[in-house]
Amino acid sequence: MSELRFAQLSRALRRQGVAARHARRAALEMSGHYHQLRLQALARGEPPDQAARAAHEAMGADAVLIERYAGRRELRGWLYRWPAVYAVAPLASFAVLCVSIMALLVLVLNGLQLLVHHLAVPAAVAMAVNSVFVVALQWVLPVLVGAGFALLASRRPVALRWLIASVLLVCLTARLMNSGLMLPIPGQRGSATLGIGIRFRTLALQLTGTLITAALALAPYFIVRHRSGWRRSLPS
Amino acid sequence: MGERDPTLMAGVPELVVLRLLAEREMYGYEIARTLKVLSRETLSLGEGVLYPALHAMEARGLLRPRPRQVEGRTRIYYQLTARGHRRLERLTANWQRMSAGVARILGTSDHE
Repeated sequence: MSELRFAQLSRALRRQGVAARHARRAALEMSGHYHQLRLQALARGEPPDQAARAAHEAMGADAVLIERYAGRRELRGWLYRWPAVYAVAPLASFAVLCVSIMALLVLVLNGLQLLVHHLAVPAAVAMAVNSVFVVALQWVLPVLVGAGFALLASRRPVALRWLIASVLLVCLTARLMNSGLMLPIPGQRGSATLGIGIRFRTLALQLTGTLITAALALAPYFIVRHRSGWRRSLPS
Repeated sequence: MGERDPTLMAGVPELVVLRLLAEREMYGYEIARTLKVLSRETLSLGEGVLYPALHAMEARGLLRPRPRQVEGRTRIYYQLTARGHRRLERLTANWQRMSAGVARILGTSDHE
């Protein structure tokens, strides 16, 4: 029972935004403290089960401890001390992923051209590859990045406004991007392009796309929150 | 044990913990026990106050934690850092100045 109590304490502290190292150490120290109190009760001549109960009671309610830890800013994880990071981190991750994918593709294609001197694919294949690439980079990737950060946030008390702002930012960036991957076709060299810009003519369309991808990215978050709320409401 | 007024306790846990650790390194339970004994049960820091305070002092660079294996269990011993020593000197001076002032006022009131 005692180990379970301290494992639960560690999890509860982390859920309240306490940094992982402090949560782990608090559980370890509280477990040691409990052990000492139990030994003290045993030395007084109390039977083992009564000694364990007395030690648990002497330590008081975990809720008080959790509140005290969570109330100290210096003990909170960096994400909780600077929640605005949540608005920037997904965008930074998305940008790093895009640039990395492009760099990798350029490297692979250049390598292939060195090996196969006259590498060329039919135009239809090149167009199909380009379409798949654009969908993957500008639709699938932002949804995955947004959903990943949203799921991470669902396990922490991150304010919903930061989460929504961050997902919208990623999806908007993806919609404003221009990307392309044209494999070499007969008589034409291949190319990879990545840029960003606003086209006012299609702005409404881009904003609609932003909202659709953001909704897709946020859907798993709301499903998880809904399910955990539903589980909590079940009678124990 | 006398009644404890929380409004008089502000800053006391930090001062007494730093003072104890200036003597030698200790772990949480040992600190709680020693405080109780030395203060003749006037001061008693519950786990809910002691451990968050220790962690906060460590986060501010006043203490350094050192895990040690004792009888198959890991104990976290706390040592005072140089910054902790300076903080203790400041807090002690403040406390002595304040308690002397309060003692003078209480003494004056007794005479009137």
